[in-house]
Amino acid sequence: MKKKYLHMILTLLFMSMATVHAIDLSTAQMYIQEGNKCFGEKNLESAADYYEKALQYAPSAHVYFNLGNTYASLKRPGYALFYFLKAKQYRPRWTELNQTMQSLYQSYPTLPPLKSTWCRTIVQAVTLNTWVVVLDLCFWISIFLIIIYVCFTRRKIYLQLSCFCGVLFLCIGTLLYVHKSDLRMGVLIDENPIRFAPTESSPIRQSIPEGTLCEISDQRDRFTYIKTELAEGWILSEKIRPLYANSNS
Amino acid sequence: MFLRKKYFLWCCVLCLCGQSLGNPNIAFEATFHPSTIHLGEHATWMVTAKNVIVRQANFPQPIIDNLRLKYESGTFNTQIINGVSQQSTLWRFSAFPQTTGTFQIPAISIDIQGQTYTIPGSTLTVLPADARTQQHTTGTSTPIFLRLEHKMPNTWYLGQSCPMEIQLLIADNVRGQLTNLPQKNGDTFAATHLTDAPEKSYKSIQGTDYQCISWATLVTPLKSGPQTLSFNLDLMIEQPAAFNQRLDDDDDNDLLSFFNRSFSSVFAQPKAVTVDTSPLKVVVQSLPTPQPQPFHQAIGYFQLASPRIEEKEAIQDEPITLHVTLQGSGNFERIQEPTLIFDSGEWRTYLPKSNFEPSDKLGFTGKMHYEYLIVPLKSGEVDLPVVHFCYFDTTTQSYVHLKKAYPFKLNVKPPIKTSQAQTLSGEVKPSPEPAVPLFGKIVLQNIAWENQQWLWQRTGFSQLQWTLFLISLGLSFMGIRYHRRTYDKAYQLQIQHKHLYKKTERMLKQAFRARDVSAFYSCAYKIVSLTISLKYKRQNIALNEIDDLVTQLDNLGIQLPDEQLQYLQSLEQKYRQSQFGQFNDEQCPDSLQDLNDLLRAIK
Repeated sequence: MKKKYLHMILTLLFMSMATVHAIDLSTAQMYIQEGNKCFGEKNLESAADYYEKALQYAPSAHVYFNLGNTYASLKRPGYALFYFLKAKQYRPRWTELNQTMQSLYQSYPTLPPLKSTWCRTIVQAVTLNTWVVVLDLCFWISIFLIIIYVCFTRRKIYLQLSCFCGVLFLCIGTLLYVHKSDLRMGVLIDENPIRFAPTESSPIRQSIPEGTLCEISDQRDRFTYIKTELAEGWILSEKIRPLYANSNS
Repeated sequence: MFLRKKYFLWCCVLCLCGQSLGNPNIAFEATFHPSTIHLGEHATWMVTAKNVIVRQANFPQPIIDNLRLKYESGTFNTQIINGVSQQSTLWRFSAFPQTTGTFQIPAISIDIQGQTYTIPGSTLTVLPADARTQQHTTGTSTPIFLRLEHKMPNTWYLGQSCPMEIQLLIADNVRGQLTNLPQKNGDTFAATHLTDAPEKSYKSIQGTDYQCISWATLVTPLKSGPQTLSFNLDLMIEQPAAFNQRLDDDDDNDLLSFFNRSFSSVFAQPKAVTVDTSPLKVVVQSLPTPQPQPFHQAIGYFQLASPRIEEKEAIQDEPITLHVTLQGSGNFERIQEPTLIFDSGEWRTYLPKSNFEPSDKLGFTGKMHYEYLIVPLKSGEVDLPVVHFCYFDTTTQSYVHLKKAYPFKLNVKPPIKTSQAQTLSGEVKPSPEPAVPLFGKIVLQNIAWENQQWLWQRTGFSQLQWTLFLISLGLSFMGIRYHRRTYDKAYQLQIQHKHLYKKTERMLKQAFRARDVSAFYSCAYKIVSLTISLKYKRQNIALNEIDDLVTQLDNLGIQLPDEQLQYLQSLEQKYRQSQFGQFNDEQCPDSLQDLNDLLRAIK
């Protein structure tokens, strides 16, 4: 009887942990090959199309990197920066990517530089998923250790370990909470003016150069409310791409 | 008062209806207006039904050879004069004759309200068109005609604009009204500026005084080869016999005062006429080939002024404005902007803004100003872009290239590299092109796929969290129980009691089934004793085990009914007897009901 319950619990646990990917990645690979072929033939617009089609199946830092290079070759630095940042989300410490981003900034000095603090550097050192897993592990380890200490054995080592995990959980949680606005960041892919109201007839407040990072606050009809270091206001939604959008693109 | 008014109105309405119903004098009339026209003109055939309103959808339209009738409108008219109403229906048809001659529309029968009426016949006379043109050329007998004044070039090229003047000449004894602007016949030419205000003047041709209304226009051929150019004009005229002099109250400032003068006689019939210019036969030639590249589609004569800038020095990546002026005469409406010739490493240019400053009302001569936005891409002393313009000179009949350059070098300062400064200015500057292409490297093989971000939004993640929560909850309960069993002595005693009670209860049931009197009373006593001791422990009262059960209950403050008290005493007595083996023929009770009631009461 006990074995039966144990088996059920374990099954449930493993089912919840398992992630089933019912994705046909062979088609995506085919799109990437076509994209690479077009890139080699200097047919950059078609290459970008193929890469974007491939990304509809699953995200890939490599494909984002290729896409960024394609747009950089097309002399569209706003798009290029967006895709490089997307690639960086998945592989933050990819040396080649970081070098290419530096080259992009050197080639296009008008691109607004990315503001970086030590705090943000830590947050961006690993992927968002890694932070979530670490945070989750700290929480549950702390909980289980405290249960073991209180209920089963009064060894102080369990209490100390639990406290350590708890403090780690609080620190990481605070760090992520402080930078939660980064999750709403977007990149201006094309130069466009900020307006006072979400209508095309509204007067222009200020022009924002392409490649500017901004915080997305609101969305109404065809316009998005953004906040940058220079100004805030409404901008055409098609001109901005959210970095942490809950989609492949 | 209100009611009376209402009744009065109703009476009026009924009277009117009665009159309209009771009027039997229905009559039809049919006439052509005008009854005589020239070929190429059209007349109006008007059919009037008097004293009736006919809402008949299908009017019996006659079919006449070489005369096309087109239905225009049907109107109903009701007049009330001194309480007598007169109604009529009017149908209008436009008549377009195909040939000259006399056209007779026969009488037509029509059924109205069950009765048959007859529409009388009518006649239209169509004269030849050249009869009118002959009158035009004779001059003295022609009251009105249209002509084209122009200075047409010897060779007219495709796309070359030519100023012309359309003149309407009206004899002084003719009154009338313009109904339209001059219209161009055919699509082989484009005529612009026709809608602009015409001019009025007086001319004398072969001794006859004419008023002249003239429209200036710019005519441009759109097709090459032999073409015919002509214009027409629609107007309504009235020509009374005794009206040979120009009225003194004509206002010279009012363009159409002559024409707009109201028809003096209400009995005179206005006449709709269309006047045409004599067809002008021209041969339009294509431009000589091969055309140079670039050719800016300009035909005429042009001069290019030296380009100029307002800034004395510039900053790299900061735009400056280059002003270019083109002047001359020709097809300004169709020319393309001059081309800038420059080193792509030094300059970046954008499409210019243009502004035309005409010298005449047709815009045939004038100045075209262009403003180019140019961005220096490198610092130092640089030459400005050279302006190039190519046009076709109609005088020399050859292509002419004009090239003008800013005579001095421009000092370009190094760029300001703060993006903030650029954005604060409110204008976004175009990004300079990368000096070296650095982005040719891509990942070709071993493309790795990543997991989606936003892990916490996935179903598996939340399931895992719930599972961990349930496990921790279960672990907590297990841990608490384990802890009490291991460390809590009171809990341990309670568990022991519980086990002992259950064991005794089981033995009691066995003894009851086996009808073992001694074992039964022994177990029953033990159960009651355990229950009382448990009660003592729960109330934290010290139990004196020497006391009998009744005393113990009294100490707890439990008051039992007399029957149960007696049962308890007998139970204790029989337990003592069983201890000493003093049962004679005592038997087990038939049920456990009394014992259960006692235990329940104690609990």
